[in-house]
Amino acid sequence: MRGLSTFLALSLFATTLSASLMAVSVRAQTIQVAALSDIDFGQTTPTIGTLRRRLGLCVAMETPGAYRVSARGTGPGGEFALKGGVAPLPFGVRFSDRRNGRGRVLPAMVELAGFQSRLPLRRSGCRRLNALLTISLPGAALAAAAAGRYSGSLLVTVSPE
Amino acid sequence: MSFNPFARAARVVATLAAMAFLSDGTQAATQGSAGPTSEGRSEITLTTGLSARLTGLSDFAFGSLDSSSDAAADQNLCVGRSGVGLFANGAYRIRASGDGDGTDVNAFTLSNGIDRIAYRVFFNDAVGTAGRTPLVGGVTLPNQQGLGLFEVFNLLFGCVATNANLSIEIPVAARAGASSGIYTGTLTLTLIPD
Repeated sequence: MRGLSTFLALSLFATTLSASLMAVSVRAQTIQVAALSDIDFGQTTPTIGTLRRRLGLCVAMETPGAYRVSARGTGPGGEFALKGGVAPLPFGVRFSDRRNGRGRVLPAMVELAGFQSRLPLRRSGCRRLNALLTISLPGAALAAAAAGRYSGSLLVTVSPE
Repeated sequence: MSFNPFARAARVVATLAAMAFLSDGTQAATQGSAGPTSEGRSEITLTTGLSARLTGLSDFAFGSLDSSSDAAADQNLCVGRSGVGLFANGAYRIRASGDGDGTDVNAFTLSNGIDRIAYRVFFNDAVGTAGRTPLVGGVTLPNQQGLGLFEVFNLLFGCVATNANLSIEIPVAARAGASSGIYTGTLTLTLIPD
């Protein structure tokens, strides 16, 4: 009986050691998003079309490959919306893993996979733009917005796949 | 340890500048740091004012007037404006001015080059003439209302949904003693969103 308990204890130790070794051997891939800047639409008047601003980004990875993107705004529940008037002013976001691509619609708080970065991460940080964020304000939403100054934040998170 | 007054002054200036920037309610963009995930932040700002658009106007042509009755005509208009929720009521003011006469530069008058004929103008913040309000030349009529949905669409796309009415009357009495001829005039409407 004592021999059995010793065997079980050793087995458990071996399993724990194995799990520990496995945990140590898998190191998380490192990624960085940079080159963000503020977007100022300035003084606007409602138009039939949609107002758009594009923002080049840099996404670099320790080992270049696939990554995921998610974003959230500072509207209710993380929605993409600017504050300032009587009601929030909604905006849309697209993300592209190219400098000039149209990209995909990025819903708020939803992680999208399948983006690619060929840019290796250097100590000096991101060195060139390889992704694009497009912010759009529909004319109808702008026309319905009360006069005033609107502001908000867009937080973009990237993670390796 | 040496003391550099210029460096300290520079730090104070930088701190004050940062405080002034932050007091505006905005923050500068922040870059993500390298790690298992990375998050960056961008600030978005815009300023919008009120816009208004009055469309659907056409000329009034009364033709040859009957000397025994008042002449009247009306037309439905499109009032457009921004800054109103689609299912809210958007308030606005309207002001009209005519070609004037000897005592009032905004009076509603027609002229044949010799004589002047006064006419009356009415505005309604709904289609048709029921409930219309008489206007005085150069005097702003407040508290006009329209559904935001129509106002926004009229602003963006022109005259999509008529939501106001302009009517004119030329009384028989105003024509008494006036010489014959072709009388013309210009009526200018100004739309002011509230």
